[in-house]
Amino acid sequence: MASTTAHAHDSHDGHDHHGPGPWTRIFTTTNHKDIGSMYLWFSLVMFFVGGGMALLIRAELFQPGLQVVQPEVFNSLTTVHALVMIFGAVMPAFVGFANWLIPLQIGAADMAFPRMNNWSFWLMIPATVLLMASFFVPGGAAASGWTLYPPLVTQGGIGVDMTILAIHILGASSIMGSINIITTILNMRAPGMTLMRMPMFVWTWLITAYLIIAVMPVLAGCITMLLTDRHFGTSFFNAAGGGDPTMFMHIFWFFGHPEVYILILPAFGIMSQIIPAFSRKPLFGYASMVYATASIAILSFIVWGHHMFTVGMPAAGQLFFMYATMLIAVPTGVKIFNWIATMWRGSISFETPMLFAIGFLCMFTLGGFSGLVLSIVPVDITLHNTYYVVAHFHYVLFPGAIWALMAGVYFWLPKWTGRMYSESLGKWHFWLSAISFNITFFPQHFLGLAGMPRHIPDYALQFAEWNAISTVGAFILGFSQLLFVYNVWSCIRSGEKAKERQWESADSLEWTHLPTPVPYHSFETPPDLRGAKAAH
Amino acid sequence: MSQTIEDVEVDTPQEVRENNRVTLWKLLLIVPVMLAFCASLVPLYRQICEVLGITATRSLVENTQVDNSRLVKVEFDASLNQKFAWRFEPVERNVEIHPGAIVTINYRVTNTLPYATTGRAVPSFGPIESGLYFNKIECFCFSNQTLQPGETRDMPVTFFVDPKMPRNIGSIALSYTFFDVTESVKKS
Repeated sequence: MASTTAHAHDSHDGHDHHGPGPWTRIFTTTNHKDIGSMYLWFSLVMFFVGGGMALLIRAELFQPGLQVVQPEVFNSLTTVHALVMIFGAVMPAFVGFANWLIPLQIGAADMAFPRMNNWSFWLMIPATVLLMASFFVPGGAAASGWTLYPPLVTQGGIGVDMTILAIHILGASSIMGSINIITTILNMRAPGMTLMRMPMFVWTWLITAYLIIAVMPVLAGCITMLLTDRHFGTSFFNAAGGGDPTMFMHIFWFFGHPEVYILILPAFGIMSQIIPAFSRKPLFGYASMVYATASIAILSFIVWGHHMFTVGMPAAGQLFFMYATMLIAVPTGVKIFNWIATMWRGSISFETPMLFAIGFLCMFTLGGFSGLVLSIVPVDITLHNTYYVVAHFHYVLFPGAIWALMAGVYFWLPKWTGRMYSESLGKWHFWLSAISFNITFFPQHFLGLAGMPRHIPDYALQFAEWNAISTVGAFILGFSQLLFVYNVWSCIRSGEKAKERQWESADSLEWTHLPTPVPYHSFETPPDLRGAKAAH
Repeated sequence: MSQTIEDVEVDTPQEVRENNRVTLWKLLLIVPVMLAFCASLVPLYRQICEVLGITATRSLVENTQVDNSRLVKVEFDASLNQKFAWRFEPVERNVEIHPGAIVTINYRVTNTLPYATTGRAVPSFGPIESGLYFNKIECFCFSNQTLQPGETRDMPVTFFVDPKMPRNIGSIALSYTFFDVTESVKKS
């Protein structure tokens, strides 16, 4: 993404780059900026792949009855849409940000293990090919939902095995990426960059990376048990052999709930960079932000049962998981109120990154509230597996994780490329997304409350109107994301030259200590921050 | 956070590389530990379910519905429709049972005729009221039984008496009557 050759000679370290050509370079590069860009481009492609599947799903649900796809394909689409968006779009995009920004924000020259960094990117390609190719094998792609519940998943064809293998590889890739991130943060900070001086983005990624290393092996273990149940005669989850499918749900969600926070904590970090910059005030309650993030991460290990209130667990278990879940609203609330307090009496300006940030704040809070509703056991039992749940997690994932990513791209694009995106196109992108997102997903609350179940390609007639509206919204939402692609592309190709310090109140190291665009090699001698005031 | 840090030592590149290697192995160690944790969830899950009594594979519980406070005498009677030349008798004449207990007894049937015949048995109870509390789980009655010439067969009846049966019923007579249905079977 960064146009490196043009600026290599400006860089203070005097390195020249007549090395390998562009094609060899993308395979062999160990530069954190190259790899960050590769992650971001990859996740952008996967975002549209997953989005295409979402539009097929919505097209099928436009009317009752079967029009576009057969039920088996519909189930595969919902399954792979989720897997692609989680493991192919959101997680790699945040890793891309981590690669680009963590060395810049802590004053390091590169990541701790540059070659492992390259490898963890390239592992994702065979995994993605496996996942997408599973559509074309006999039996089709996995059709059990991304949660891969047995017994349905043990009955699937070879597509399920390809999915399991793909998840194994993606898990290995994320673990390597996380080890890299933690090591970089712990060992390679510039002198004077103490832990409690790090920008919030670095903090949230430090905590997220620990979550990833802790739970990805659990996912790997539980899908390995699926694999041995399918092919090697074990009965971990097969009731006929004395196994228990409910145990799969427990193990899966022990991974699955921390995974939810893996998808959102780095978004919190990006928010904590953008909101102070456009409010022209330091982040309110920095230390409480750090502790709140850590609390959310720790609590995420003891709430998995709220995904399975209906399996018949003892009432004491339901109560425990209900209260533990509600408890997470406290540190999350701390963060939300800190952001609001940061904006309070600030000199706010509403450039595109800030619009997305404020949109995040409103919509993520709405999604959090519907999550609180779902945490109440008796309510959850009626709403379990309805469209209310679909609405809830799309509210926290699209305007949550995705908008944070969009905001982050708009925010750092001038720094990365030295060029400015089109502010008016960015605003169009935001407002079209905001309106069409709500047209798409707000009606799904009503559908869920009225009892429409998830994962089903057909529905009763009384759900027709809201589904039609939701589909119209989805198509506007999907196509308005093309504005983003165009805006980024034209910014890189022919954007106006960005200012040396595009956002004058952004005060992490990449803004204060590095020229614009960021040179290919930065901080080869770490900046000395001893005696400097903390940035936040 | 506005304290200044004046006297932090700066690591040399060699020290950083060494630190990185140590951190790498520490973090890699988390992976097998969490894999082992995942594997340990399998026995742990079984244990927790057993402790909480919510296991799906629990052993069959004992029949707690037996009323051990009284005995009921059940007498078995066998009769034949008068034109039917079978030999038909209960193996035991009577049994004394606790209401709720499941019991199996046998009737013995012999076809004394030189050709195959088909019979069908119909039960009756005395006193009639006891029929409401007499539950047959398995019975040869109401279905056609074909016996070859000279064949003898034991026909089981598995039953229990409902513990809710009034205490004033002290004995029950179960009577079966076999009817010859050979002709009607042939016709149909």
